Amino acid sequence: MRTLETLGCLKKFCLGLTVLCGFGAAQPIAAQQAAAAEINLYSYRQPFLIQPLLDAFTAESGIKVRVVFAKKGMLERIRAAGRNNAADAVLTVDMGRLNELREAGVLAPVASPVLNANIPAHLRHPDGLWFALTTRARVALVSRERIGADELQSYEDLAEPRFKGRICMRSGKHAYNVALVAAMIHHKGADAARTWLKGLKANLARKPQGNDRAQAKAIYQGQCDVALANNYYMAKMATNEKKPEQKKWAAAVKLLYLNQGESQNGNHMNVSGAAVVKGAKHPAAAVKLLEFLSDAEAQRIYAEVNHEYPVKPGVRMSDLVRSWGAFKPDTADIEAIAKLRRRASRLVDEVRFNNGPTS
Amino acid sequence: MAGLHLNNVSHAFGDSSVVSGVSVFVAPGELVCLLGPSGCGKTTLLRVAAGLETLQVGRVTIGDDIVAEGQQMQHTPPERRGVGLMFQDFALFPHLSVRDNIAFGIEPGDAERRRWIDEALERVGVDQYRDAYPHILSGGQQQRVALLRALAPRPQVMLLDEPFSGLDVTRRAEIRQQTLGLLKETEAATLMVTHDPEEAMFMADRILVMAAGHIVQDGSPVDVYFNPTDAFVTRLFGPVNRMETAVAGGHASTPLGRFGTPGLADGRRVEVLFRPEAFRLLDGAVDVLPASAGGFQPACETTAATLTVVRARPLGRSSHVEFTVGGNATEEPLIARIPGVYLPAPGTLVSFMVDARQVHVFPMD
Amino acid sequence: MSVLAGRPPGRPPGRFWRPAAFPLTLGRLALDPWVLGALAVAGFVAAPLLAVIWQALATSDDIWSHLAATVLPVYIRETLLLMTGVGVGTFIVGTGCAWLVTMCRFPGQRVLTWALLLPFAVPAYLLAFVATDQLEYAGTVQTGLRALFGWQRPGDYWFPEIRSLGGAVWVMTLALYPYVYLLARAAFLEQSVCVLEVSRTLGKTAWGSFFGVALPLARPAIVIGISLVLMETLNDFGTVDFFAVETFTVGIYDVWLNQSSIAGAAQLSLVLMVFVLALITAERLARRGRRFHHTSSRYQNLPSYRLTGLKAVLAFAACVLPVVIGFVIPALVLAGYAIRFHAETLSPRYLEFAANSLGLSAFAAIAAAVIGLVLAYAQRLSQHPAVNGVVRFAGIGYAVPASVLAVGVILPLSQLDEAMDGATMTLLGIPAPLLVSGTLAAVVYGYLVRFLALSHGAVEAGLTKVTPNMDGAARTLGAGPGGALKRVHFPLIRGSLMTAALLVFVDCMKELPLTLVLRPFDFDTLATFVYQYASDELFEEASLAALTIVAAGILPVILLSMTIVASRRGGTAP
Repeated sequence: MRTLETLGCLKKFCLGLTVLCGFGAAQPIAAQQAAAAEINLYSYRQPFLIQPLLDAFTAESGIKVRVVFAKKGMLERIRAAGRNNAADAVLTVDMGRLNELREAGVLAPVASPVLNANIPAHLRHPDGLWFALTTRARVALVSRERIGADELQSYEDLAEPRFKGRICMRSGKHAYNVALVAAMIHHKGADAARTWLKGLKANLARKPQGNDRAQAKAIYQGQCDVALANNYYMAKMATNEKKPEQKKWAAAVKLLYLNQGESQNGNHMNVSGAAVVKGAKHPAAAVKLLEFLSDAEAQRIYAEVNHEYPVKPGVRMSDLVRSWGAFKPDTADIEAIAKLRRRASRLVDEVRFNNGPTS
Repeated sequence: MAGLHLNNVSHAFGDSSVVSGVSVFVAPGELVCLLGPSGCGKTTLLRVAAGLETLQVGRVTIGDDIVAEGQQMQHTPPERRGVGLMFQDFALFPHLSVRDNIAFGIEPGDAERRRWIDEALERVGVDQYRDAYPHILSGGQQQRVALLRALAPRPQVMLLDEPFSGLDVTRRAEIRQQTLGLLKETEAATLMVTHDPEEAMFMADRILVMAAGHIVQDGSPVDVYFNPTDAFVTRLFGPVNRMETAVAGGHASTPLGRFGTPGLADGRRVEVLFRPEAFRLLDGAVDVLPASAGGFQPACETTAATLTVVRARPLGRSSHVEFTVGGNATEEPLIARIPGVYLPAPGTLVSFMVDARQVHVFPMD
Repeated sequence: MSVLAGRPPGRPPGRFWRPAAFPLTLGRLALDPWVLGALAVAGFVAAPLLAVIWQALATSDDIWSHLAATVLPVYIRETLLLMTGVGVGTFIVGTGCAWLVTMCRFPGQRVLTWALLLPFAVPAYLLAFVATDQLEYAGTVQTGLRALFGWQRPGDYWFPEIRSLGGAVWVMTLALYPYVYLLARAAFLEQSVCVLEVSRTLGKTAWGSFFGVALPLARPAIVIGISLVLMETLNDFGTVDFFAVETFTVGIYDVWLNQSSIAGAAQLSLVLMVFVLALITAERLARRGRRFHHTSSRYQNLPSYRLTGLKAVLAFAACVLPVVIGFVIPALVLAGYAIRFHAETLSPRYLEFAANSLGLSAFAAIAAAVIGLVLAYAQRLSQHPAVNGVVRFAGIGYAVPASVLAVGVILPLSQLDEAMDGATMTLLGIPAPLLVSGTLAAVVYGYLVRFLALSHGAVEAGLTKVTPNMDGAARTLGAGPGGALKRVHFPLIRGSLMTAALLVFVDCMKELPLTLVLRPFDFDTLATFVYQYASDELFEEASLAALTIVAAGILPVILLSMTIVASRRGGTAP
């Protein structure tokens, strides 16, 4: 028994030491030495989603991109690092994060004619603090069988009594839904938004849970008839060869753009974006990355592979996305909407949205 | 100054004082017993001497070195004091063999001590267990190992905390003998703690009686037994018979005799304590006092009393006899311990005299 | 080494004088190297907690009135319900199985002895995924039931809703009971057989002995186990988020991310810390004055109640069920996915991730064991409430939501880096490379802060095996505090140190939130790699990595079990 324990201890110790020596403190120092050929990227997007883009960038420019992916703590890490920032750029999936970073004062202004040409003015910060790289629409997925044409036309409709017990949603606190509520407040005011939320809550078929795809699954299973999701999830489900049952979910639902009427504001949009961090060690290379991501090749990958809406004018959406038809996006000031996030989140609390339909 | 000195040591745990103003001196080669009931602070005193508790008030000196000083915060850690401490639960190290346990405190290269260990193992009779682990030994064997372990580094001072309390009674005498022998050989100044008075009398050169943190009496065993300073010390050695009366004419009168009360005013209430061994059959053998009995015997007259036997039980070497003075059945019977077998039937009238040296008078305050 | 060498026998070598400038209690502490070292180490570990507190106090955001008016009651209710459920569940499963396996003999008992620890190797979020995957509407169980009974729609039958508080309770019970099982089993093994035999002669049956004697004696160990479980429950985010249970920690993250108030999150975390401190203090007060050392120094083989017939079957079922549900099924499901999606899931960097995980975890495990030992021993030496207090506080890291703790780690490290940068700028004129924040040192530091309670608890439990008198014996025989540690304590608690290291190793392998936030660029462990996919509920792609996490935990778990048995003197019944 003793030999076994000692051996076990020893083995672990040696393994630990060797691996650490190999990967450990040498790493960041090595990074500093190879300064010119690398940038460090904080990403809120999963690496497997952005890897194709980053690989293309490296192939073209020779600059290696090192990524840290996390959904929390990035802002604090950047802020705490002060002027000694390890990160050069940030990639987000949501306007809220970009706004937060801007408010914290950790972003560096970028003056780049390439970026300005590639990205429409309403999708970037006037001083170049942040840039949207793609947009995504939060659309309605409705059951093909059980929802008739024209039955659902707007977000406001979702609060109508005729949808009672027929709506599935993910958590009201999720960033995508909070953004939608913020947009509602922006357009209609807090009181109207509250009323709308209460109505929506009363129409829920079950307690908010799961992710966007899970809502489609619920429609397919007959638990509900209507859900909200980001458009690219629909595309991913429809083209999922690895998990064919997701194709069935996609087949069971129809994608509807909401608020398309003449007097209405258009479908709610969110953006994924990027920014350069203040105090970055390789600001020039970071700007290069952003420019690459906003340029034709990367934008095409965004469109084809991720089924998002590219921002660069002239880049085509994927065929599947185009098959859903053209639509009117909401072009309200996304930064203004993002500033209403806190208010929106509190509203969701006040209405106790996540408690579900029964309370 | 060689030996162990505790000067005016006081110790408190939080708000409760456990030891107050105790001074003890143990000369090299001397064995001093701290005798007292549980909770009177004896073990604490031992731990203070060993350095396991930090001295709060007073001074501790071992040999010529002051090892602990209260006010000035001096504190030599235990490992540098040269004391050997034997614990009540022996505290043998379960992961070491018997021999390794004993050799714990000596230098690995010290051949002379190793030889001593081997000889000692044989002498105390645990030689065949030298490579065994402590948990298979009996209580008595563990005690001997613990003692040897404490003695091996040749400490100046030996401290023993109720070393025999965990042993069965039948082995105790033999082990005590052996322990005493070993201790005397080493010429260490030994301080032993016990609550067993017979043990203290057997082992000690001097007995210090402790109660509630104070030293109540300090003297030789004979001294403490025959000249106790108060009722508490008297009672330590066993049950006593008790009578209350008042001083009259410089004496306390009882049915069993009048006993002198020097220094006590007339009318003062006193208790008269008779040891069970005080009773002598009138026609029994006369006992012989040791020459160094010391102390003065209070002037007294003992009366031959006729007492009614209530009950008699044999105890082997002596007999336990209960009787009443006036034949009154409701009275609390007196207890006597008569040497040999003496078993009168209940109701027998017997004549007794009382040995004045075994009777003690104390004021009741 | 004895200090008596080279001088006439019996003479102490001279004085060791301390100046008297300090009052009695402080003075004793001020110069003791062990105590100073322990305070320094504990302070080092407590620094991130202090950072969290500092953040909590440095704000004027008013989140409380909003929370109190809306969701705070829900948070508190759900959290208390969850804690109660998981606490009771882990107590029953952990203690009951530990007793059955230690004291009774029934078919399969030997294997179950270590198998019951296997769910420890499975991260709770994986267990949650498998549970929902299998038990939700489209999962195997319900599909099978529908096929069996011909039901068509959800309305046709009732099936418990998996994504609910109940689901969260039993998933977390399965994931966390090994803590209680481990400590209870160690405690039962430690019990002197004489005490148990006395109980039997006094007429108690097996169950009677269990409730009347064994359970109370094992109480400190079981309580430590349950408090670890409760702390894990409190700071868990992934599982409760998955099950749509809105606990206090969910609230913390909500305030952080949706209200953009890290200070608010820190305040809420502070509340959690105080709550945990209160719980721990209450338990210690209740335990004060009792002694849990063995009273008999004799050990024999443990007796066992032989079970036959129905009782044996029930015992086997009771013990095998947690293993099957908590380990076998998840492993099989993951293995199935790994095989089906082997092409996608075998990332070219898979070996690199595995090496990262193993190396980090091993290093942190050893460091945690050492630090736990240093602190526990210093506590034992000084017996001073101040030392106890600081060490207890440093162990609270386990109760703080990990991402918040990560932010707490970042702060002092950044300050350190900034200071060093300033120094090199003034002295050498060049900026310093980031030496601590954003390096592996930061990750290990985070692990240490988070898991100290684990290693310290295991070592503390082991030290109870060494009676205070053994300490005294070692000291009077010439061994100083360091010598006694080396020659007496270390050999006796080797098993507990091993336990501490193994526990921390497995937990580090599973650890996610701290690693995510603190790691260097381009560095992934198996857990963070799984997270990429898990965060989009795409577990299938990450199944091989997930399976590796589980597999890496199997060997340590077996070692753990063997260590506990070996550390018992006298062995057990065959």
